[in-house]
Amino acid sequence: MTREIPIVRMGVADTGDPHGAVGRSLPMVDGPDKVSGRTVYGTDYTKPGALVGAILRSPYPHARIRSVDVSEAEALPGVVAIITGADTDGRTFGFHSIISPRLADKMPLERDKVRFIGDEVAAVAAVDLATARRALLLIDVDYEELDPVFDPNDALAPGSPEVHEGVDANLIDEFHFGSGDVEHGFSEADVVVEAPFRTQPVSPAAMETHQAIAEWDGRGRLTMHASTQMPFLLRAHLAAVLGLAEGQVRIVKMPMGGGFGSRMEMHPIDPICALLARKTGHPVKITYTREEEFVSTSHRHPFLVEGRLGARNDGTMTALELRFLIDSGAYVAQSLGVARVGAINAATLYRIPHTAVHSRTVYTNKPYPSAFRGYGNTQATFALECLVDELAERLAVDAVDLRIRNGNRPDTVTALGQRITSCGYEEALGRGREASAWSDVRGRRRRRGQKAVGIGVATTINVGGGARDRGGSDASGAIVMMRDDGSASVVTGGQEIGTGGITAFAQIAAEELGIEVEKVTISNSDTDVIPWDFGCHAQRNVFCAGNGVLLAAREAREELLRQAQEKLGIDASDLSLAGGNVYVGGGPEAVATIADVVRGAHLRLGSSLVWGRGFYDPPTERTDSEGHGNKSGAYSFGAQFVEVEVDLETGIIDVTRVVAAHDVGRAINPAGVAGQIYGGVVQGIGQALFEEMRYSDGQLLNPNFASYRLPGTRDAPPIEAIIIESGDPEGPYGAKGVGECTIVPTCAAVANAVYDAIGIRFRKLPIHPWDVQAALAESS
Amino acid sequence: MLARFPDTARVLAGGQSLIPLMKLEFAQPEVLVDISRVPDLDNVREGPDETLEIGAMVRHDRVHHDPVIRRRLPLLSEVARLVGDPQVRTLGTFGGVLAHADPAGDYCMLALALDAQIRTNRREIPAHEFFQGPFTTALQPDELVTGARFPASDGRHAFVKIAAMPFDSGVPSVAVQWLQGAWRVGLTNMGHDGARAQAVEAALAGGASPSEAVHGAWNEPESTSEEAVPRSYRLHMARVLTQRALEQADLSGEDVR
Repeated sequence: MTREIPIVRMGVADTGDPHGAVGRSLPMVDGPDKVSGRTVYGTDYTKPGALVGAILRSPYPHARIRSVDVSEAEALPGVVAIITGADTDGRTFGFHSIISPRLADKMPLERDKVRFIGDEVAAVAAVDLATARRALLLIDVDYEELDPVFDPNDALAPGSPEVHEGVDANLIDEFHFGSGDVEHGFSEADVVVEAPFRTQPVSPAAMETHQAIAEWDGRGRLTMHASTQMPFLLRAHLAAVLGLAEGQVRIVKMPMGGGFGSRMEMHPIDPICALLARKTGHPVKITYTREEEFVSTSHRHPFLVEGRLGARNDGTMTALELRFLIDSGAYVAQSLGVARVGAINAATLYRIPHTAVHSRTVYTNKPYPSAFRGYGNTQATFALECLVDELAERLAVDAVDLRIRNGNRPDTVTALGQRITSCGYEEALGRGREASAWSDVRGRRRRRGQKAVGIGVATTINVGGGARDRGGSDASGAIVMMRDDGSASVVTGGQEIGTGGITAFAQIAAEELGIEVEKVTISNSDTDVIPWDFGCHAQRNVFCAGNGVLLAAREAREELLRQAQEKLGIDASDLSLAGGNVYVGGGPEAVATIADVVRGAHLRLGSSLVWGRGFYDPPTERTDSEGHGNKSGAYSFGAQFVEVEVDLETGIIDVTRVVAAHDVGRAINPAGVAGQIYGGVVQGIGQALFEEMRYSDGQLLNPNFASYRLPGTRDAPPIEAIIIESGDPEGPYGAKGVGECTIVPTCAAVANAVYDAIGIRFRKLPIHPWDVQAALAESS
Repeated sequence: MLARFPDTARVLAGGQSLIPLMKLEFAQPEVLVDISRVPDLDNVREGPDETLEIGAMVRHDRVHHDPVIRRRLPLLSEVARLVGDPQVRTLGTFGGVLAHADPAGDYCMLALALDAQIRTNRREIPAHEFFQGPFTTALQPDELVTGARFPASDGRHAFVKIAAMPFDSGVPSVAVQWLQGAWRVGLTNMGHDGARAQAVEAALAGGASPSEAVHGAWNEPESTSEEAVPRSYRLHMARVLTQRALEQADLSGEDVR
């Protein structure tokens, strides 16, 4: 046997058996192709004879479309087809359309009205991009400008412009979630802290922009090559908006350069591309520019949060009230889900008996936000975790101790009915406190030259085992087929959006089948082939789809053992599988190879295939109208400790180190988990300190990376990732989700660290150096 | 070529400014004249009368590492170290920055502060005449920047730049150089007339300390782009960073007074 050398990747040691597959920091199975340039991304891909599409967008934030004249554009040589709202049959779409038809408020191309600068009006298919763009300039749209409204408070005011006719005061949705009697809870409190918070719109800024490639076959069936996190949702929504049956649409999911939530839903690019392809009879490809990516795909909802938190002198929290005002921009997209996720997580991070979250979501004439990693939880947690810091100060207790005292514990039920099973919340805080040397920095107002040093903490609860909310199935299906050489083909609906999903699936299948990870292949792109799955979002991929793969592999394993029993005449219960071999009773010598068993079963008269099916739907409940219900099969927890240096002259904040401790149940791939932690923290630092989509009268001022500053390598501090393995009873090998929660507490931890350094609270994101400098000048 | 297409041609050197402008459709040239293989544009040499000559096609990375520059004008090497990112420094050129005349261009500021001469295919122009305003130079349509001649100095100097800002933040970077018995102080993003901080130089010559010299040295800076950053902060940063540069410079190099 070769000697096993412990592998340490990204600073993370393996936790699993070095001979096994789970718990090992194995390289990503799609890594070699990605780093060598072999991977064909959607943007790289095209079809022979494909035309190029381009979209005409509204230059006004709010205007009626009187008429659209395409005659001059159509006459331009090289233009093959032009479509307008008239070509769309007037069908609308929206992510939440399953809840209510009124939430489907977007048309692929608007017919009567445009509602933001960038709203889709017409589209051209031409022989090349230059021709398509020239044609756009020749389309003559007669607009009647209407009064716009940009501020969500203004939008609610009586007499304000109606973004959508008939939606009173632009109020899309209002709800009250909570438990107990919040006023009674505050009457029990000895100390109450209260403050307003504001978060800003930020862009996921995925490296690859959106693209769509549409092609119709001779029987009227549509194939879309798309970069999507939810192929089956795209199939359903595309079919609906085009008036097709779902079976008439086939999605082929392409490798994508980043998702972060922005590729969850169907965006107008998809039906526009399909309509152009149908009209021209040719394949059509549309690729978004970076500017279009900013204005026409997802970004994070800005929240205004009025927060109030009360506790007794002994540190027991008694009441929490949060009031959200959420700017949904011109259309609904996922704003209701975002509001609900923010409300439920904020109400259940601590064991507070009396909670009330009041949320209002309104239309304005701006580009519309939607899903982005963190999904409402980031915004709500910023407010809540800053308030908890203020509460700790008022109570004169340690901010870590206060959190441990009130935080979630294993095997409990929250006030909103979530069943907490595995829970490493206290361990995350405890280990993070130790690793960050919290007590050496906290409250000591240290100086390094002209920089003040501070440390802050913030924590998070997230769904970690699917997210049912109001939907139907939260499931994922998989098929595992053994090949004659002892390798395995896994066909799964589970996704890969750059986060290591398929590597985790391969590890799970390999572990279950007793073969090497290198012998597992994953097919997961074609909706004509793969079993149904609810997509990669809400950090559900490894939990839900991983469980689907696990069930399928387990069934294949049983069949494998049954065939081995038949072949060897040894009872299956005495057999074990490892390293591609079959062993008896844990004995040292292999009695057969797995390849022998599979081939023997297959290549004979009355042959059989060694394979298995799995379909996993977590045992969860829908969320009711008050936010109650066990919506996830598991919950993930984390605590982040952030140290900052604040330059007292320039106001510039440097994050100097971060300790991020996350309870992931079990790390299928520890390096992959650490990667999710590093990425979430750095993205969170970007939101905390400099990212912001800036608007002037509805016009986005910074839709490019020269003026929209993203965090880069030099902004990334040393990050210590602490992986807590609480061993979830429902997760595959005990695993829970980790992809999303790692960004959630970062902004609050940064703001709390800045307070610790200079004694000034910043409740508005991002914390600009000029705001810090002005506040320092004022306070001195 | 430039004479043949006077209105539609643009010179392409490293492409690190022009290509982004073309991508944003701010520049839409029909003809690109690639000068990367024109001979003798990438020389660095000592010139007459204590000067240093740098060719237009010398890339930032070489400006940073070149031994002659490091010996004769180490400040320029330090400025080049903080231009853009590694990709930009590998491709972007010295002359490209000068010809682009971005108010945020560190070389432009340095040329103005040190009274460099800009060389073209037909003449040598003093920097303060060459730069006429944001993105505006004295170049004729068929004229090409071939290099520049800087006064050499290995005396006290410093360059202070805040890299952690958006590219269009308008926050200045500051270069200071002890040259021929006096301080030269240059700032980016302070407008055409503000690139050389003569008020600060005069105060220092009159015996003021760095903190005294920067106090009240600037009025509101000109607006350079969309107001991502408040003017008052940019002005504050001009003072803080200039003071820091002067204090840092005092610790550097040899005192040649």
